[in-house]
Amino acid sequence: MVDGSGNRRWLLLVLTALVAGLVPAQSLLDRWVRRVDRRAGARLPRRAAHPVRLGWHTVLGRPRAAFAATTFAGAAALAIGALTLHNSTARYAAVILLIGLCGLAVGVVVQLRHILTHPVVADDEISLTTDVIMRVEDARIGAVPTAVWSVWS
Amino acid sequence: MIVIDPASPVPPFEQVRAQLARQIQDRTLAVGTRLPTIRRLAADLGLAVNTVGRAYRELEEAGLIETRGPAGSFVSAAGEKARERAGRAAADYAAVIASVGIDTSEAIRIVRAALTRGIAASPAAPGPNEA
Repeated sequence: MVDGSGNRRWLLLVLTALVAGLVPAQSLLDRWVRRVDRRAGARLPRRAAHPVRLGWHTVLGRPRAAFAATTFAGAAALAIGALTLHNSTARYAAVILLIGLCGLAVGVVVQLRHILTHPVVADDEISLTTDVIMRVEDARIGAVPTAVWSVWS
Repeated sequence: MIVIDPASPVPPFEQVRAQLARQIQDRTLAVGTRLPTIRRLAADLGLAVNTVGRAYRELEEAGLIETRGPAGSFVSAAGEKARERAGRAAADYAAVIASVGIDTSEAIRIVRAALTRGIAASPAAPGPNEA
């Protein structure tokens, strides 16, 4: 019993470390993309940019943001609710779910932050429009909580 | 859209300032529009932060934009109010011209001469009331 509990603790630590490691890894990957973008932009004969600030509500849209936030909050509430059960296996599963959810939530925020803030690399109106379309698509795909559904299913 | 041409003899800060000023004046950028942060626009255009900062500072001094602390920079209503005031003054002037029977080309010539002398810049210019 003690060995099983010790194993579970170790597994949770490993899972936490894995999740905690994935977030900085994603952040580093985003930073690398920004560096490559900067280099590509420096080679352009001229640069173009939007004179208007594109906010998250423009790129992502309030309904999608609300849907994602509600899904995460609902999943977290269910997992926290499971922590109150007397069944230790259910509690263990709930802790795993919570760790996973935290990692997913932070990952989505990091990804959205990158999508919203990475510099534009464009030299004309067409490439600027393309940039906006790609940002919108990336943000909307990134914010769909499919991973949360997968975790629960 | 703001385009920066590094090969242009016009300094980059002036290119940014002039393009933003034109878009504010022709209402492409409406009053209250939130502009990108200095850092963000500098990154997008591949310019130094100071270059964009100078353009924003000059636009602010001209009353075209206003900075609301951490909320960012917004297109100011001051330019819009000035335009409305000029429009009202022009309407008054047009009424005077119609009442005294001066033709359009002559009226335009008078305005042009007044603008050249800088008389029209005076807010106290009471043209229509004097007639």
